[in-house]
Amino acid sequence: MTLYNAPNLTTGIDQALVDVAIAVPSFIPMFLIFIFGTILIGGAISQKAKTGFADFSQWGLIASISVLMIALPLTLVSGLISLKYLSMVVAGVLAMGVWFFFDRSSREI
Amino acid sequence: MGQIRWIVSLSLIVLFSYAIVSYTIGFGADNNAVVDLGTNTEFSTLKTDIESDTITYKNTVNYSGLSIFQSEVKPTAVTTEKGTVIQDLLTIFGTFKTIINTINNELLGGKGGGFGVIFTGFITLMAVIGFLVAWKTWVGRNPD
Repeated sequence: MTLYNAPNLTTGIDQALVDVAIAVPSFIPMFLIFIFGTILIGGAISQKAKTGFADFSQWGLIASISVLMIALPLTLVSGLISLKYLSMVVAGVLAMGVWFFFDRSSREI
Repeated sequence: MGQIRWIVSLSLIVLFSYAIVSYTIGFGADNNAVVDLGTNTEFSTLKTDIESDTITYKNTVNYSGLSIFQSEVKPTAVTTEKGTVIQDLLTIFGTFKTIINTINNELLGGKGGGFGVIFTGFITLMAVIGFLVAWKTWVGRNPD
């Protein structure tokens, strides 16, 4: 009994990624969450070490925009990302933007 | 939260949201993407609403600005008796509510979702701050 069918690479590496996404539906969403968490936590910790202050709203916005920039090319290939997850990514960027602009001090924007 | 900071925050949130949604919809249209955000009625409606609300906001601000020059102030009063200086706050706040509703529907499950009460409380808080800012401005006190 075969546990896993090896991806077909004759049509290119894109199909291998699509086959993985189809076999594991949460692969792309988890990958995007990984990107978001890495940039958010890594950036905040780095800023805290250098300046003594971590601006989480700023890093949340940067991380969410980075996730959007990675998600957009995924929309060009069928099967990688669905409209539901793309909508959630864009809504996440808007939510981070709301937090960022309300979090500015009177000396900033 | 001061008046200037409150209005600037709302205005920048609206402009930023329009930029992100327009860019994403434009990317899908220009590249004939398989997954196109323009097919999502929630975001395409949001884009259209922000476009029309921004024009309305510009017109109300112009009207409010003109009303300042046409306003009347009694000798012992500290603020104007006539005029519509506060209308632009309502316009921009209405657009902000539309954006928050979109975030709630797409990210948190909408009105039937468990997190709906959080956004309801948040919008209420912003409205309370807006009312306090408007009231302080209207009675001539320092809104900051």
